[in-house]
Amino acid sequence: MSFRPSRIILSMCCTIALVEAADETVYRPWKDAQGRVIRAAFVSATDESVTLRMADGKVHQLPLGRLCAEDKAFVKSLSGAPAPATAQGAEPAVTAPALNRIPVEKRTWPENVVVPTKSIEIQVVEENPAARKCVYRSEGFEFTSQAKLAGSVMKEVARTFEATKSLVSSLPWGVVCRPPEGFERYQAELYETRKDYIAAGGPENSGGVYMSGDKIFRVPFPSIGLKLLGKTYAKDDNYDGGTLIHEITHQVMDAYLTFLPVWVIEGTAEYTEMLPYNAGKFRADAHQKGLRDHITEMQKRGYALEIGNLEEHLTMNRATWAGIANTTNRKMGELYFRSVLAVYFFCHLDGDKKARASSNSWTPSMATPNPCALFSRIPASSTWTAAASATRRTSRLRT
Amino acid sequence: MDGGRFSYPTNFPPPDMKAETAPFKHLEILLEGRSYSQIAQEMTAAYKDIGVKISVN
Repeated sequence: MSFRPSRIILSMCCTIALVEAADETVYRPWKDAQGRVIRAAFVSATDESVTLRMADGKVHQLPLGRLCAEDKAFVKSLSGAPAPATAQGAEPAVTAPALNRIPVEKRTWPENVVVPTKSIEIQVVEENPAARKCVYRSEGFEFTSQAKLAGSVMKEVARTFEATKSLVSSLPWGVVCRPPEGFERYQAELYETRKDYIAAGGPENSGGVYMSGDKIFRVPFPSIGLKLLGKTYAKDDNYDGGTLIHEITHQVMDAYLTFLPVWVIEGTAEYTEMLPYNAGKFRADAHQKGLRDHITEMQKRGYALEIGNLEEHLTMNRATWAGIANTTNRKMGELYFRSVLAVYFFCHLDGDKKARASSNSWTPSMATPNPCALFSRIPASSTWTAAASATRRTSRLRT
Repeated sequence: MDGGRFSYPTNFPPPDMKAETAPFKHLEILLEGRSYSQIAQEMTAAYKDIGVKISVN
């Protein structure tokens, strides 16, 4: 599915690396591990997947593992970047992966984003239930659980985390997901009970919290759909993981949070949360359905479909936001709702306006590149420690 | 430097990272010279086109 880059693309990047590389790779043959060949153009790549545009304009995301060795190396060469730079006396530095972003006008909106199977292969690092410490790893996350979890259950837990990371990487926002400085993986702590969670610092009115101070996402078992069956925990497949997706979005965008207005931080997390999701697959192309469902749900809960004073909302500083949000859950809900409506507008409705005419907005013929992207000049990583070191917590209220 | 790394000069000026201003430094990219009231009107119209009646001013 092609994408008309609109103003908010949140590219949060400047120039860089893959720009020229992408130009040179238009419509080349790609071979999979079985020797089958397709002709396609390179669009983007993450650690786990590559996105290609076919001759008919359709865009497909493929697990890197499906490519032949030569094409894997080719993708890797496109993703190559300078070594990290280090500032003297003031860490950290601009990081290499942060530079591997595709220019705004070349980005495409994905159809479906599916978490690669490889990403949710679980590695048991440590299991010590007596000490209430069991450590598991998926490709991009390390989970420290208070209780032992079966591999199949842990895989289901990791699926939502990895899928959200894949989604944020795949959306044309220009976000490069990489663990915070000093970590090989994103960190998550899973608490058996809400009481344990709150004792560990979780806000009482939250279902999970990402604390950007220590870079750990804390969440109690009930919030990830884990319930005790007999003596073992099982995953409730019908559990709505919306809150989880919201908070994971914050976690994988951690490097950008300092540079973003709160309405963008919360609006983008609400956006990913409202996209239709099931069993490791986000339907990114069904964003309008997601929006409509979200509006319906919010109206059922009594929220007005309004943003109010736009300037006031878009320029709201963190102190003002916190002052309002901490008043009542209802006030916080209003801020979140207004934010996702603004983010959706800048993502899908602003720009050349052609997208308004049809529900099938993102056809190639409508893909009028608009290089003007929100935060396109914002550094991709927390380059300067001073501001980034301030602890900030984001939490989604269980309203 | 070794390993392909380099260092910034110690007097390298950091970007404007004041918590109050940094997040809004590039908001103009979104606004593109439009006033907030103009964007509010465009927002109302755009949402109307997809069948959503939204109030924004």
